[in-house]
This record gives sequence, structure tokens and C-alpha cells, in this order.
Amino acid sequence: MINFEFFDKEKNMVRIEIIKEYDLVVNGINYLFDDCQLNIDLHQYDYGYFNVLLLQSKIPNSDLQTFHSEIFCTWCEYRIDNIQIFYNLWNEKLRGIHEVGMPVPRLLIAKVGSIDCQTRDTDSKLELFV
Amino acid sequence: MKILNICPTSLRDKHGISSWFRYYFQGLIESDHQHELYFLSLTSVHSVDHTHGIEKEFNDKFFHFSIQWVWEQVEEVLNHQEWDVIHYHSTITTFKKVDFEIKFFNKILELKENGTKIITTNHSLQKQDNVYEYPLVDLPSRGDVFYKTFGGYFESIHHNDLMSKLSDVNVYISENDRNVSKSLGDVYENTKVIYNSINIYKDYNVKDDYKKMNLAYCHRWAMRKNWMALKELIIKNEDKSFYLAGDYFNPLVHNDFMKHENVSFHGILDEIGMVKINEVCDVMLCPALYEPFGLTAIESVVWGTIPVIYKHTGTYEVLGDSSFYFDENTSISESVENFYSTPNEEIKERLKEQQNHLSKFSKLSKMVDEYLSLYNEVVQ
Repeated sequence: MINFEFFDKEKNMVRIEIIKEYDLVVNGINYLFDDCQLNIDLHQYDYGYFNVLLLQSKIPNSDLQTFHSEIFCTWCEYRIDNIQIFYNLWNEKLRGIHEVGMPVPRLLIAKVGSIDCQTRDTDSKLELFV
Repeated sequence: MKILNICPTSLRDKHGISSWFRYYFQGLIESDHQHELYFLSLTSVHSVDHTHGIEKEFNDKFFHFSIQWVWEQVEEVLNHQEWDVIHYHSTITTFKKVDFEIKFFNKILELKENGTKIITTNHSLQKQDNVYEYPLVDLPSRGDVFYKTFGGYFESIHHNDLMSKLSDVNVYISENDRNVSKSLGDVYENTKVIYNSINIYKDYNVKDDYKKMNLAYCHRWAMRKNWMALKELIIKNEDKSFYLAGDYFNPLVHNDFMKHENVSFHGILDEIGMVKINEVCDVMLCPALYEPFGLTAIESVVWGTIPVIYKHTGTYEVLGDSSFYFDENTSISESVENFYSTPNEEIKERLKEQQNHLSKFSKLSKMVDEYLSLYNEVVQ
């Protein structure tokens, strides 16, 4: 479902490829999102984690059986293992930053994976929060 | 004269009853040629995310700030120039966090000291004693833990001190605190055409059967403050489905509710989503304790879904006595039980009464006239 590909010798640039292999259905709701690639420059990050998350889409869902979602990647001091850390991160850092494109916190559906900036270790465990 | 009108907008969509504020703005601009009108609309996610037309449409005609509930940005607008009059709607003081309110009130006091005239709508909640204390209705336990959880938000002494000063600030109070709400009938007339054009609703809707499913629509703080009440409702009604919708993200409540199989969380819904959720549900729970306008409840009435509302809100005033409501004496659970024990025909009658009540409201133009005469009175 998720591939991490470091594509320079210093391992500063990483390409994250997310491929949806199966429908993500929870409580009868199908969480839809598009396959995507994210390129991340780890060069300026000595510590912390890049967390790859699945959020409610900026365009709200319009069907009660489907839920439109999108992949979101953000740097955080902590690995986001639960919804509370994401909430704290939102309160501390993300509010009002227009570039982030999140004027209000959107529903966090799942953690898709993460990269440890220090060790370059990757984690691709899909962990649902809904 | 420079007049700043601060409005909490609910621009979920350009087309819909939610867009009534646009008519209000438009009415004021078109009618007032004496004053310099400025508008500050504190927007929700919907208008920011999708850049609905209001800025584009109105930018040429008047000075319009459209920002979020970020104090620094609000302060910037308040300091932008010397305002002769500041007119703020009561919702601004009840929607958001205490720290926002404190800063806002302090600034209002400061501006008043410097000679700015202040106008605010006279929210009925402010008339009551202990209004800023959460009425502990519907809690299965009133132990210390719950009390701290729910009541703590309103217990700030500092906050209460500021609130007491507000009686001094409210120097001009509009005659009818529901002037704004009462424009809704007029807006509905205007928006009905749009509904027709997208073939959603041609008229007020009444459903055949009101015994199918349930809906909790909980937005922003309403969900947290009614947490245990809603939880009790969910547990008592395991045979019903709960569709939680709304734009506020609270992990504690979210995680807790999602443990129940009969609950699904839908986050923010667009206009079409709201229509669909109204189609499948027969009750729209609107647990907000501070709701001067109640657009969600009003829309649900138009769509034929019964809203359950808090009695001491503007919504109750707008929808009338036939509403299903909860208050200090009646819990949300009791109100929903009352709904399910009511015969179908009576529900339909009550809904029609609400719809009639809604459609009888005075015209937008009247509301605009009343505000303009108030402005004239203040600046003289």
C-alpha cells in the first residue's frame, strides 16, 4: 500500500508512493482516496517524524456510504500514533497556516505511515482511527 | 461615519438558506448611502475552503474582511482605523473559546473608552441569570468529574467579570433581538428558486414516516458540551443509526462515540450531503446551547426533518412552540423519547406548524431598515 523510495545518496529526498490496494470500509462507509506520490526533502529536518495521514477531503463528502479522503503529510516532533497527537499538533502548529490548506482540523481517518527524520526508518502500518 | 459590522457568518454554500447573510449585507449596502459601511465576517471552513462568492461579488462595493476566528486577525481589523460605530452580533461572544471572548471584550471596552459607539444585538441568553453556566441537563452523573468537564468552560472568574462589564457596553440594544433571524422567511423566498433549479426541493417537505432512523448533528463545542447526554441517547437507542456530522474535531468525543456500532461520523457535509442526510433521518439533533439563528435546524424543517433544539436559543423563537426541545427540565433523551412516542400524524402537524411559523417572518427589507435607523440614531 505504501512504498518509501530514497532517491539520492544522502537519502535526503524521499518519494512516498501510496497505492490503494483494497477498499477501506469501516462501519459500512467506504473511505475513498486517490493513489498519490509525495516527494519530501528530509535535508533540513534533524529530528521528528514525517507523518503520512489520511484526512477528510477538502471537498466534503456528499454521500452517506462514501467518505472522500485525501493523503496528507506533515512534519511533527512526534510520530502520530493516535488521534490525540494529531489534535495537539493541529492546535499548536497548523491553525491559520494557509499553506497547509487546513483552516479547520479535518477528520483524521487513518495513519498511513511515517519516516523518522533522524534514523530514516520508515513505518508503513495502516492504522485506522475511525 | 465609519461603521464596522462584525458578523459571524455561516456561508456553507452560496446557494441556500445559509447564505442569508449575503442578503443582509446586500440590503444594507443598497439602502445606506450616508455611512461608510465596513464588514468583518468571521468565516467558517466552508467559505474559506471553497472561496464562495461573497468576497468576489462584494469587493467592489464595500470593504469586506473575511477572516477566521483568529484573535490577531480580528484585532488587526479593529485597529485598522478609527471606528465611529462597531456593531457586533451576539453570536461572536458565544461561539468561541473563552480566551477569544476575553480579548474581544477587552478590546470593545477599550474602544468604547476611546469614544466608539457600540451596538450589539440583545441575545435572549444574556437576559437570564447564570447564562454562562452550563445547565447540567441530561447528565447521567453529576459527580465532580462531569461537573468539571462540562461546567469548567464557563467557570472562569475573569470571564464572568468581563461579562458583568458588558451590561455597560451594550449601550444600544436593537428593539428586537431576532431582527436578523426574521429575515429568513424572505431569504427562503429567494432561495427556493435555486432549490428548484437543482431539483432538490420544490417546497417544504413532509415525510411519510418518522420512525426510521436518527441523526445527531453536533457541531463545534456543542458535541463536547452535550457529550454525556448524547452518549446516553446512543446507548438507549441501539436500534437506531446515528449520523454524526459537523466541522468540529474533538478526538476525545470522536473516539468515544465511534466505539458504538450504531454511530457513523461524516465530518463536514456539503449542501448535497445535508440533503441526503435529511432524507435518511427523521430527527435532526441540534444540541447547540448558543444558537441565535439555527440555520441547520431551520434547513431541516424545510427538508421535513424534525429538529430537536435547545429551548433557550433563537432557533426556538424562529420555529415556534411546536418544536421538540430540551432544556433544564427536559433532557435530550427525553425529548427524543417524546418524539418517538408521538403519533406520526401529530409529528407532521407540528412540522407544518413550524414551517408556517418560519414562513411568516417579516421581510429582510424591514430588518435592514431597522438597523439603518439604529445606525442613524447612534451616530447623531
